[in-house]
Amino acid sequence: MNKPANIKPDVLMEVRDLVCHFPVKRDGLFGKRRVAHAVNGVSLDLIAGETLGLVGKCGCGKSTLGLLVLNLISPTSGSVLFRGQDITRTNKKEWRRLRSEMQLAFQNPLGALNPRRTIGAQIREPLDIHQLGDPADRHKTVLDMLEAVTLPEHLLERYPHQLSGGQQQRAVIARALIIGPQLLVCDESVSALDVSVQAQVVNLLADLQKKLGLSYLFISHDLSVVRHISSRIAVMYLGRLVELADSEMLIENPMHPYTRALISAVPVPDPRARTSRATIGGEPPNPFNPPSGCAFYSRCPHADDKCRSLIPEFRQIGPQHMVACHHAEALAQTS
Amino acid sequence: MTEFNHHNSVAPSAATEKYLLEVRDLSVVFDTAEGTLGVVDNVSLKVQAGRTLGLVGESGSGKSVTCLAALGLLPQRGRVTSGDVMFEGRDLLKLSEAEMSDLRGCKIAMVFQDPMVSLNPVRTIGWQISESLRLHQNLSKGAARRRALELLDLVGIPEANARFGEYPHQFSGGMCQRAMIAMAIACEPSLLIADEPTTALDVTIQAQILELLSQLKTELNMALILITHDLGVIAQVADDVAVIYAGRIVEEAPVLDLFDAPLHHYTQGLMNSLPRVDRKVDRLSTIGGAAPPPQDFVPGCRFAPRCSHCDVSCAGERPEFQNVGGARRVACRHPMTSGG
Repeated sequence: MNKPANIKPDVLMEVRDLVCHFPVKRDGLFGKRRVAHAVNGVSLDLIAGETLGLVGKCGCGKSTLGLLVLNLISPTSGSVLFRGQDITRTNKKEWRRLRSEMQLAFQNPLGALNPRRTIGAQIREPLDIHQLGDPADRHKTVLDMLEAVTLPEHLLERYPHQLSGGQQQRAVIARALIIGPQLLVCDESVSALDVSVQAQVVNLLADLQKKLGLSYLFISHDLSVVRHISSRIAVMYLGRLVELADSEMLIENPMHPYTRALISAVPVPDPRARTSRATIGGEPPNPFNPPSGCAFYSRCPHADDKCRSLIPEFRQIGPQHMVACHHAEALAQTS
Repeated sequence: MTEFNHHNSVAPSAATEKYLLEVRDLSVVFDTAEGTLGVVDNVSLKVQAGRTLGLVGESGSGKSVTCLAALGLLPQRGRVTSGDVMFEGRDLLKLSEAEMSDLRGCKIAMVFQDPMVSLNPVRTIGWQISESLRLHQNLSKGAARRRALELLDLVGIPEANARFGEYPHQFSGGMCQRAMIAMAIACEPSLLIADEPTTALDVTIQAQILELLSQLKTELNMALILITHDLGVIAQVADDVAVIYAGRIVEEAPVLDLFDAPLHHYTQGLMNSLPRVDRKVDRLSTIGGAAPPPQDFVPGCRFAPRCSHCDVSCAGERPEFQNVGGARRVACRHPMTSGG
């Protein structure tokens, strides 16, 4: 896993200074038009074959980022390069070809499946759309895919509501993977599942990655799952990345005060390790009106005047370790 | 009615005195288009005064229904078919609706999962907190307001005076849950039932709310039933734990014993399938299959179809919920031994 630093690993996707602002309804008829700063200048690389975990609280912009990298919504500014090609500026034909390289699995599988079509028809649909193979080939591909996601064949003729939650999520994954994408964006894909079923789907994702050489952008609020599945983790707060590192490094040696708070707030299933839960107080600021300096300063125990006025740069602090905090070096010494 | 009043005056027997709340052999069925479904089957729970009982189970296991039934809050198509719920010497299931109304929100209070839905959107937060004070304690409007402000302060809502007149949509999720808790503890209940109180919240806010609940529990000497699917939350907060699977309690133990050495294979499986932030494993172990819906419950042990240790005896009769030393009980014919 540890490649020598001088060899640039195979970058599948580069996100550069991505910004996405949503205009939202006015305050009343003559009120000011408000703008939600959902994603506010995010840059990151996704390396082929890796799982990049993206964590943050709900409303921090992580799902918006997931939609942006798939070009399902257009950015206000910035670019997304997929194998060097900017997908935000492609023509329709090119985009159609590129799209089969990247797919999405949503949180709520029942919402993502069409309630009036059989599972089999829905898993086959991407093949029909992209006109891959003749009908007999397509059927064979569907059966292979079913086996890969460990769904029994008799479910092909069933409707989504007849499946359990875990089976529905497997069907969604099968439909996403059937045209052989390179990248799968998993947006809270296991969050709605019960613990015992969640573990099955997490293992399935790991197996499929090994078998098919997939890259995942794994978006979740659950740091325990993200740690388990990811090779690297990016932490997002109010539209910006605050930390990005190898997952072991991030958990064992977090640099940003928000990452630290996040890790210590995760309830550990061990009653002998009852932490003091020395957590941060307060509530996250409003995305309509982000603070002038560091977005975290109002909740940060280490904040000073510099944090209040100056947005910290997302900078390298160690090998493959990025952080956006003015005081990261000083904090590293205190812990 | 006289019979019940008579019942009230009888000193609680020695057996019930030990526990603040004792649910005994409670069964609940739901009438559906497909027939009658047994959702909760002979569930027994005990809560001691001032302690926290964690009730843990997956979705559809009957954990919420058990508590709703105990409080007489079942939806119309749900019925209690057997059992009793002893609280301070009285069987709650035999109380009239009026008597229950006096008790609920006063001696026993409940906090639900989604605070945004549980709060009334067209009443101010302050009004909603004062309501139970005016109803249960006959406080005047002014006195109720003063007490409500104290409560807002107690649950950590800053600028109580200003926020008293605000509506739920002006509160964040965490603040709404704090307001719900303020409403629940307004009459200083001896028992608070919290149903997934932090599931809808972010982890940093979850930690704040759990901290608040523990602190209030001590300050008000309140017992707490914490219903959750999250073993992490259980480990952090509970004193005693009951594990529920497919409508039955499968294991009951003090929290340290349970996590040190789970006895039921379901409990063990659940713990092993948890990814953990504090340690790295290569692969999660899993329990095959999924928890069955009520129409698919099998005779005998309901976990048997997913259990790697089951044999023919498991399929026959329901395993007895037996004492296995200390305060531990388990419903399994082949419980885990300490060797695993």
